[in-house]
Amino acid sequence: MKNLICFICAVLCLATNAQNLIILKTPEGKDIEAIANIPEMSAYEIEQLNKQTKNAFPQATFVCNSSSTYNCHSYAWNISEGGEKCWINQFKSNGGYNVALYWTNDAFVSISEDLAKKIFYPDGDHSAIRSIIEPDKYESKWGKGPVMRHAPGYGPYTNMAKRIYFVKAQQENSYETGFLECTINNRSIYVGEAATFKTPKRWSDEYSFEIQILNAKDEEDVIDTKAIINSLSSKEINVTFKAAGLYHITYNVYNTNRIKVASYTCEAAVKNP
Amino acid sequence: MKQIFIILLLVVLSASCSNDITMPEQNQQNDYSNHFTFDAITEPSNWMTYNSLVEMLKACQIPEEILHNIPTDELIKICLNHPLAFIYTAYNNEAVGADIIFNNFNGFKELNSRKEHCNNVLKFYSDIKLQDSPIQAYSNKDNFSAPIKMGFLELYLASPANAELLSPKNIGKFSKVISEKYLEKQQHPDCYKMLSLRKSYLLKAKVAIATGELNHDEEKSVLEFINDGGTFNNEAQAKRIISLTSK
Repeated sequence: MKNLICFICAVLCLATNAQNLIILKTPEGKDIEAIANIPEMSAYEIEQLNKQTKNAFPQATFVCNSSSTYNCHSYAWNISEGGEKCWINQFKSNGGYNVALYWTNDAFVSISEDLAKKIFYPDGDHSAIRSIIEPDKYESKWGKGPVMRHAPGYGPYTNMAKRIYFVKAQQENSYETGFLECTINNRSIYVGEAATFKTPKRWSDEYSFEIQILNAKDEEDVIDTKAIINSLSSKEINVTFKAAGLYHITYNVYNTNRIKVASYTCEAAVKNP
Repeated sequence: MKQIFIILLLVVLSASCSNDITMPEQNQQNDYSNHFTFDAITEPSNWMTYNSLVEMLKACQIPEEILHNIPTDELIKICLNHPLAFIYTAYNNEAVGADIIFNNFNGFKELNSRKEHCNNVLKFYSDIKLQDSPIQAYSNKDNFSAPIKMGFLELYLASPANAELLSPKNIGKFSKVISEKYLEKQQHPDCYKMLSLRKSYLLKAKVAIATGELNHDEEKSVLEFINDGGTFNNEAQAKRIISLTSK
């Protein structure tokens, strides 16, 4: 009888606090298993956990409240990208990779520490994001505990020295933008005339450059047909146009990991002499 | 008269000796609990100097010269008052988080080495008076009914260090205490919510496995729940575990 009462009470408790498995998508459409509608702690418990965390880890800065509804992986890979609050485990309920799908042939790529926006701690089963407020620090959700801003190796997890770094491969506004300046700036460029287009700044030799020249009318690629690239350097491009028209010129800069770090553009109006 | 006096003297002497012999723990309890607290270690200007979890864990140790003489009940309180006891809440698998403390604190190593420590810990757990509200539960530092602290104790009870509680000799008593505490929690729902109830399910799950009454599929489900540190992934799994552990 007692067991029956316990069971009924437990089921009633569950009914009012029903958590459920949901499927999120990575940017490239892979399924991520997550748990939604997890019952929240009481306000007093949240306050206590905040307090205990702050006291035990004084070198870290409190960012926001403890909560049982989401965790570190969800905060780093999902919520910080505009996703809903939920709990994401490192592995799926069938044992398959879960969090790793974000960076396995998907939107996030491995990067050096200094350029990383997302960080994974493999030994600690933990994830973090780089702080915008203090770029040498990370921000992470400490389980049911609060979001804390902390030094990379400071926190309640084992072996926080071991980290893997990621960035979104083509993150909007993650690269510098600007305009190319043409040395011929007081008239149209003539067909057959070499014109130089300068970048706002010079890039060092470790970077690579790609040029795109499109016909403004139909966005046709005109390199080697209507536009000949005479020279390309870390600060300028010299082009001779073989036909009149309006052209879009784009000068892209890539780092050694093939991540775009800058993109400069301009329009060139070319007319017959 | 003289003989009566001698006899009386002997009786008084033996009574005072007997006090010393039979209740050394009573006297020592006051001495050793006053000898050790974490206060000096966690004093803010000192605690702030530790730059990692490893450094903090290393600092939080009981001096060896007093460790072996601390009465068991006091030792249990010291273990539960570890400054980092709560960090299990930071882990996706709470059992993994609690193990960090169990494996890196000499207080737990000493406790585990004591004969009959399991029964001492079980009695300690049984004697905890649950509170109506979180404010009441957290109001006193030594109030071990606070859900976070009680959860730490329950994770310890579920750990391999207390496997003896699952032996045929002890399992009946263990199961009874778990059920009593679980019912008590349900009578104080404002304080002991699902996160706390899950610890009871974890303990019940350990008992269910030990009794051997589950079939293969049932055992697989319950073991998965135990290996996840007592985490529910969804309502269906939760209902199943509750049902299997209520048998």
